[in-house]
Amino acid sequence: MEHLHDALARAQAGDRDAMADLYRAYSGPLLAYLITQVRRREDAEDLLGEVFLSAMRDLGRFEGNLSGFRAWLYRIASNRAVDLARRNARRPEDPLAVAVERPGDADPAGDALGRVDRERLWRAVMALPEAQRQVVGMRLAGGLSAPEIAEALGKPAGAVKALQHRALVNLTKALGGPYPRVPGGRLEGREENFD
Amino acid sequence: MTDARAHDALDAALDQLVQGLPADAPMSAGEGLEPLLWTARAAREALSVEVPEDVVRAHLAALGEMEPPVRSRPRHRVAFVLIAAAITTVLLGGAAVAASGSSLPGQLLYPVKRAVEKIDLALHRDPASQARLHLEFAQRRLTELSDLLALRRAGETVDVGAAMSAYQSEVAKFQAAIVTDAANPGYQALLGSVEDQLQGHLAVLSALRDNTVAGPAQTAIQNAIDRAQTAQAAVSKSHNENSPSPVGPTKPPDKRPSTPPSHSPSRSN
Repeated sequence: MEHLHDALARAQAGDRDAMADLYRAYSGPLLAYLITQVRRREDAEDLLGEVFLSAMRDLGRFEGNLSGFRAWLYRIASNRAVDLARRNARRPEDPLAVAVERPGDADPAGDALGRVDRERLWRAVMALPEAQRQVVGMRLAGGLSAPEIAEALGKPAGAVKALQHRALVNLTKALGGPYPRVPGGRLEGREENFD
Repeated sequence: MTDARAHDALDAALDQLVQGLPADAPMSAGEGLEPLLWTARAAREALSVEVPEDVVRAHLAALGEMEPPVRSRPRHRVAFVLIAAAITTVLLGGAAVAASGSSLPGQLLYPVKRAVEKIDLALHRDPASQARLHLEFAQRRLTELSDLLALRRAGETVDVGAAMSAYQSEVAKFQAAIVTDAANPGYQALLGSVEDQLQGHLAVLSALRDNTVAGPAQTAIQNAIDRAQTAQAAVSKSHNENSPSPVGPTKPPDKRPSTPPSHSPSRSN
């Protein structure tokens, strides 16, 4: 984490390598968040580039620490996602735009979840009401804290905590109950089909 | 457990989760919350995504081509410049009109600035000139907005909503003026020029919105973005309809470029 504090300071001073470090640190979670917001992976990848270019262009005006920087990145991402949604309002929705589309992306976390589980979970997240999906995307995909999400969305931290609680209740119900743990730290997959 | 306490307990456990609690570590967040944590753990794992290498390379290449960020002037210097401008204006008296050019909504000389703009409009009666002037004034409103937001960050109370209403009003007047200029031989060139300017406005407004926390100010900026997009769509449509070349959309409507326009939200006029 310390190296990212340093990278932020260097990036603000114009160091391109530091900007690349920040990109590498935050692009994956940010892409996951964007997919939860815009649904189409290619759109999310385009927005990811826009978000970082926008942030780096305005980095000289940014005042704050690393936590504030993360919240700022997600605020930009959220705004860009809203812009895209407005433009694409009439485009048919494709709910299958999830991370399993590309070979090699399917299970970066060591295959702890099966493909079916991943799709179930993505679909359940996508089916959440917008405000809950936004908080879940930032909290679980982005790894932001509740205060960081509050800063990004301009909501009180208490409201964010309530939203994430409701979202997890809804997700658990949608999945038919909690995911039981099995020995070895693996999560037990539910291999039924669902389409 | 009350709702608030349950929210806090779950939040604390989620903090542990996103900070990388080992998979076999106990997850306890109080009565009834453990099932939610298992769901959260599974969802966090499922939502883990890697950026494809080709995308990483493209984005890093784009970042590498950017101009390095420039540190903005310290807030107190912005305030100092504004105060100095105001004092100079008072002392010089006769130069009030010139000095009003940098005034902001809510400041003493701002009405002078707007009155000068009205005179300017009265002196240019043809629709093309009026359209250009309205667009130029809209650009000034954007510059004022940028300065107002800087003052706001410095702790001053500013009326962003009024500034954005003024912007929207100028864009609406621009749109009305340009419609009446369709018979002019230079209409096509004018449309092309204003299309680019509106694109610049949108880039500036988007950047300002991104730097503003959610609330009335951000809503006001969003409304201005919507207004500018409406005007841009109308101009683009006219441009295509009146273009001598085969008619067709200039850009795919559902695909954004992978790099944004290179406009800065800082002062641009």
